[in-house]
Amino acid sequence: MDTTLIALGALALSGALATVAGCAEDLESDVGSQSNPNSQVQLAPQMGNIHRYFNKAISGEPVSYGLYVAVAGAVAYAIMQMGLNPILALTLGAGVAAFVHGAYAISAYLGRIVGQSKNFGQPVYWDIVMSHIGPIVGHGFIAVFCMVLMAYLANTILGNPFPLPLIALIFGITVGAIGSSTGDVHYGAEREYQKYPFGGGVPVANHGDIDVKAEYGLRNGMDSSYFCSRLGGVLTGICFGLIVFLDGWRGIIGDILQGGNVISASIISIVVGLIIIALLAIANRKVEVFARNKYGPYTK
Amino acid sequence: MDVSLLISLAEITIAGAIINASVHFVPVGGAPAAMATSTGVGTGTTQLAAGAGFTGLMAAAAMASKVGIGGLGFLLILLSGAVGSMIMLGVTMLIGQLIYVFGVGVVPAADKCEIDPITKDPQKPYVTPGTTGHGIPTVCFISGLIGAALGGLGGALAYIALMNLGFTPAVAGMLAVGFFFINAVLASYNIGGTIEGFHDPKFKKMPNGVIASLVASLICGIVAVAMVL
Amino acid sequence: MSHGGGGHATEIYPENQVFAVGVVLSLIGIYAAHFLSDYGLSMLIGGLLVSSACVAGANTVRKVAAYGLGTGVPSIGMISLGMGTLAAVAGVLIPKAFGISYLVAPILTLIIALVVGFIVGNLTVKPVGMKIPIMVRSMTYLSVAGALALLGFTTAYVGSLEPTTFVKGALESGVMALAFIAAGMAILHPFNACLGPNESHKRTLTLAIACGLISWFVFSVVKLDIVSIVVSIILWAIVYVKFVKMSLNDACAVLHVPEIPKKEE
Repeated sequence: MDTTLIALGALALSGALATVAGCAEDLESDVGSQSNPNSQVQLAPQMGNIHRYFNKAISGEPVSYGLYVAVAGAVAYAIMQMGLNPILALTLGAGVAAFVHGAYAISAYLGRIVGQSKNFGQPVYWDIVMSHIGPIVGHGFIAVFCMVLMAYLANTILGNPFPLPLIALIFGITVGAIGSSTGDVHYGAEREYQKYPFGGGVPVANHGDIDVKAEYGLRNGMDSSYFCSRLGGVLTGICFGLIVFLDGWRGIIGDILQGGNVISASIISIVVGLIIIALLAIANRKVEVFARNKYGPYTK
Repeated sequence: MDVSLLISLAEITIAGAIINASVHFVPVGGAPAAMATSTGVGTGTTQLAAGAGFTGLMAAAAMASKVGIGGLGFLLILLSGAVGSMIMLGVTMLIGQLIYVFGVGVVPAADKCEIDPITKDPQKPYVTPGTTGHGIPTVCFISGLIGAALGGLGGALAYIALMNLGFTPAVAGMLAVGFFFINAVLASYNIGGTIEGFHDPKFKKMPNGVIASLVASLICGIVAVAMVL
Repeated sequence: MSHGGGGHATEIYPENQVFAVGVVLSLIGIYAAHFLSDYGLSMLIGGLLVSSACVAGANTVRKVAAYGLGTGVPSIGMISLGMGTLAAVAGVLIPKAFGISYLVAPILTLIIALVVGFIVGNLTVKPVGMKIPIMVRSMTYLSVAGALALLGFTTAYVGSLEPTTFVKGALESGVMALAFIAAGMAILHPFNACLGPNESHKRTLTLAIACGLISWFVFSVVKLDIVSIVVSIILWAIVYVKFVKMSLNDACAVLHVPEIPKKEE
């Protein structure tokens, strides 16, 4: 089959996998309350808000996701060396990564609740640990499997010269950085402070005053994940999918338009990239103007 | 001592300085930005710079394996790294902007300047009282693109320098990753948490970070050159 | 994201002691991994001993982060591993360039890590301006811990310090990328997870040992060494359960039902 066609197919698959991975990664960080919004969950007991969130303080998402995906990549690499089917190898790799994820997650919860919030009367909710660890590890498995499959495609079909574990590490860091920058805002600024009216940032004076009561009963991480799957998770997935797709697509456009000459193909890919970037800047400006006109300034 | 070794040493040193400078351009609001309490992307400086820089590194590596590292290829690899990194940060910032505007309901507004230097829009009336800005106004977006371009460029330059020293792509990639982190963390320590972009007063501290990175990268470069003597 | 400055509990063991023990054990582990590879024991003995480097690193992070790092604990883990990568690869490749025996690789890695860590540590004080009193010493220790952990796990995987075998086994395969991030997380996670006013050295050290052991487990899986997998997972389970029990003991309350405790007025 035509190599360009295979490359295009692999790229489309990578884009789809990236979308699923981005969404799963964001939802996992919402169930487990990781990264920056977690600072509010940590602050809450000090402000008198005893909570039932899963306070998962594992460094930042880029580093932790770099770990899980690199583990999956290295284990998959080792199993593929044995001669087993790649898909089986990737699944087993993601399984080992999920185990490591679970171990770090529980230790983070216990460590922080006991080390930081004990003086303010925050108890360890063992039922939260047991009920949340399933979704955390499950979402993590989905995200890690998609990422490591993407790394495998990049390594074998899309012509990346790095070895599989290194590509896996880089993808893990990238998905963590993206999920941390986009979806976590929806969790941190909107869902954690659901009791405050919509619109406006969270003033510093209100920090720590997060929701303790839910729509029915007490708030926990699953409610956050459910809510954020409406917007935050979806946009994070689209973000990562777009990045992977656009970055690969500009290269393939170059190959299609000027297949024979490698130099002009590369030049075309760079020019296409610059056009895309200009369009992004224009889109950002349009959204900013829309917000300024629709919401208007603070009048008081 | 071979001239090409000295050129690679210079390339590594300059690459480190560029990476350090790039981190200062990226608008990072840190933990408060995730609660729409400060302007910029809601993550840590090192992490976002690493994400963008590594995307650039991957683009550069893919390009290098296609065109080789001599002559015009050198320029194409640098540009490819820069463009790849810019796309990553650009899409991230745009989607972040969408969440800020439609998910949280804030107007993008910067706190460290009265008027946006690029669009000349007033910022103060749109900042929620009690916060230090939120969202990604145009000046932060453009600053982020510049930062991403420099980060991708620096990572690609380090990769090319290591390839010129004779390492295989896998070794060069691994060393580039470690090298990138050293410089990005030095820059992050220099910034001390959050920065809004080139209009932020903290930006004036950039020379300190660049000098630190020049020295650190020179040492790393010497060690790298010693490996291939 | 986390911030240090959560207060600094008393230590059970002095930092220098933990660091020295970690360095010595890892060096023994690296040489054991090299010499015992013919018996298939390089991951079993080498991996176990090298985990101590992660513990030493985690202990140093505990000391330096308590002063308040400002940008969070993960950064210091990443910079120490960045320096460690350079030192580890240099330690293996430089002997060949100068015609010395490759068996000096671990010692050379140690020296390069010391020098680079010291210089970068000084750079963070001047011109970057971090105001932590023990910054230079901590950076040096962390650089060494990261380098030895990295070199240790990769040597345990490859089974040899010989340059061409090492490059092919650890770098071309990409396993060093795993060592980079696994050692990094094992070094930065224990204090990051346990920090706060009630942090106790005992709990943090137990978690550090557990993180080192789980890194050993991951490498055993990658090496496909069944004996090592079984031993590492059993040891990890023992230490981890100990950590969980300690935490549950130290907590102010352990609840199993969705009930917010009533505040006494």
